[in-house]
Amino acid sequence: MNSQSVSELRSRFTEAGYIADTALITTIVLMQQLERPLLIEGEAGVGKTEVATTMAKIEGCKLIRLQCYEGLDTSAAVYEWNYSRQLLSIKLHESNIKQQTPHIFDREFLLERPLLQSIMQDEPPILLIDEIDRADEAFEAFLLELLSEFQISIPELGTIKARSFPRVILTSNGTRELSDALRRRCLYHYLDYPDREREIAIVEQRVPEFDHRMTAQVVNFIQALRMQDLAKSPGIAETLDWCAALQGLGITELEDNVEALFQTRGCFLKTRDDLEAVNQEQMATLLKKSA
Amino acid sequence: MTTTANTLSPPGNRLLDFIGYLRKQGYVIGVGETTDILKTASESGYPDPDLIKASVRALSCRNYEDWQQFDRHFSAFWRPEDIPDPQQELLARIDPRLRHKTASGISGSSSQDSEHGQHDLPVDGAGAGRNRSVGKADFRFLGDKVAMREAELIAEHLGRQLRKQLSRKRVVSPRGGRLDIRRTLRGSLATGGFPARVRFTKRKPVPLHLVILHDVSHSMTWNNPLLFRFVRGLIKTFPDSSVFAFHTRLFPVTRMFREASLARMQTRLEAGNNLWMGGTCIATSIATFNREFSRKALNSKTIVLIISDGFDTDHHESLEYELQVLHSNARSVIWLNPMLGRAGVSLDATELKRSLPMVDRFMPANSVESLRATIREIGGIAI
Repeated sequence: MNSQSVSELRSRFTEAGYIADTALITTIVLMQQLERPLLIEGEAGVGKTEVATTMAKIEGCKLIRLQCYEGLDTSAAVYEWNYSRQLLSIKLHESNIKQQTPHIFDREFLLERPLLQSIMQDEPPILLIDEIDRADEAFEAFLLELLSEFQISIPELGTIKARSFPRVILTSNGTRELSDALRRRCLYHYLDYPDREREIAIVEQRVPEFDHRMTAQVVNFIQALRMQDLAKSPGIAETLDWCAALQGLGITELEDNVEALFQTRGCFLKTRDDLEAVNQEQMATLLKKSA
Repeated sequence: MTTTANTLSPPGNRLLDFIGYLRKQGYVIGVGETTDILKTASESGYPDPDLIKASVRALSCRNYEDWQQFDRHFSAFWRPEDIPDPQQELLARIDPRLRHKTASGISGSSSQDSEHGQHDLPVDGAGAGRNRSVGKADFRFLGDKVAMREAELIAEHLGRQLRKQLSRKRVVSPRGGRLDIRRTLRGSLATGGFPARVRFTKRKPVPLHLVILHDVSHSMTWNNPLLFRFVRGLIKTFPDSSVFAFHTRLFPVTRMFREASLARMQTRLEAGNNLWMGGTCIATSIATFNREFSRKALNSKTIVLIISDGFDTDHHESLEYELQVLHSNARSVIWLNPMLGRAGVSLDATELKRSLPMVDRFMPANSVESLRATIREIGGIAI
């Protein structure tokens, strides 16, 4: 790892539409060099998932995504036998007794789910395990084997070793504490809300036709809003949504247009408590302060 | 911070020292991580201190707290002259004693305990033994700064353990629960329609609903840094729960406890509370809760935790009445009292004894061990 490789990767990320800071890029370089999974934590809407999408884009490789949820099990995440096809095969065999007995636990009857898919690729893909904190602890324990050995054991077939090692990115919103064992296997990065300059750069990159002065006003307001006592602080996704909404509505000035700001507050205030907590007057004060 | 390349040389040894320093601060850095850090640094030829910093950070941090504190530790190690004393500063944020150096204890109990040899309890050792020492030590006498930090982490972790216990109890084993016909039939396809492996539905764990009434008056100053962490752990685990702080009045503070940063949470708590060092009106505060918040915050399954030492300037009759109202609206009321469990203090000797019929359990909250017992108690009630 050197400064050049970091700055090269950084510019590639920028070209792909992701404005990343040096710490994140350094971690990604390390992840590639050490072939270790990367665990990214942070508030919702700060761009955790986007890291994996952008990586797949700049590497030109496949992105395999596993969205975690409570009750996620191996049949949805790793593999499942295609039972109906197996039955059909048996029936066909029964009607034609001369035909050779089919081996129903063969690869052709195997339904590959994201984790198995990721190790069966010839070219190393990006494996995104999204919102791992939503999965059960039992599934997290199962992941440990995959992340350290990159192999999956299927009782009927044996152990399947990885053809290529996927680059694994796990994201978490921190709704549940992850186990130390999982954390120990991963590199760690906490993705925080961007500072003003970086957020302006992100908006200009993602919504290029949006007025530059308006961008500054929007970002200043959002940054000020994040300092308020809100149940859900607006993330980058909210900023981008709001910019798109303002652009779509043809609003070209924010300072003297508190009404428009108030009407579009649904883009950046996402809970009933927050909608009640920030009224039009407070928005005007915030806007004035942030100008 | 500006770090020059000179400060990083000779690099290998200094990096090792830095890793050792991080370990002392509570970072868990194994041999594998150490090797990776040194390998990465030496392969790169120690080019840019910022890159080294970013790579060590990625390899040594495990969670948000590690991540948040890393800058401070990095500066403290490589540029100590710029930092007054990071541990002092850290503790000043979490331990009000260091802000108010004149404070000497509460209600005269410090001197009594000092006579029992508890003062500045040395917490030496490492590993499990040390953990036990930290666990048993009274919150007031955790003089060892590292021990204090460890106790805080354990306290927060304990709050989070509760969910695990509940989940383990409620997840149905392969032989338990109700038959899941759909899954059983689907599974039977593998055995030609014979249900060789019967599947069961599992009861979805119902998240525990807690309401915490936390005394933040002057007399609780010594205990609160750790109790805050404990409550924060509970709130993180059970997001639907609510916290109310009180001294002479009561106010909702749930959002503050949801802050990702402990420092920010402390700052916000202090900023919103002008009477931090004032007295306590427990009955008035509970009355406010009953009148203004209980309808929204309580349901028949709610467990109410009152965290207070019981020093009250209100009449005890009104406290009894308000506790009765509170108890009738909740499933259970547990009073965590940091004074209980300390030498010479028992429930019989306090006015709180009269509240016994209105409170399901009085429990000590003066050490990590006592908090662990509380977790067991809450787990028992919830199941």
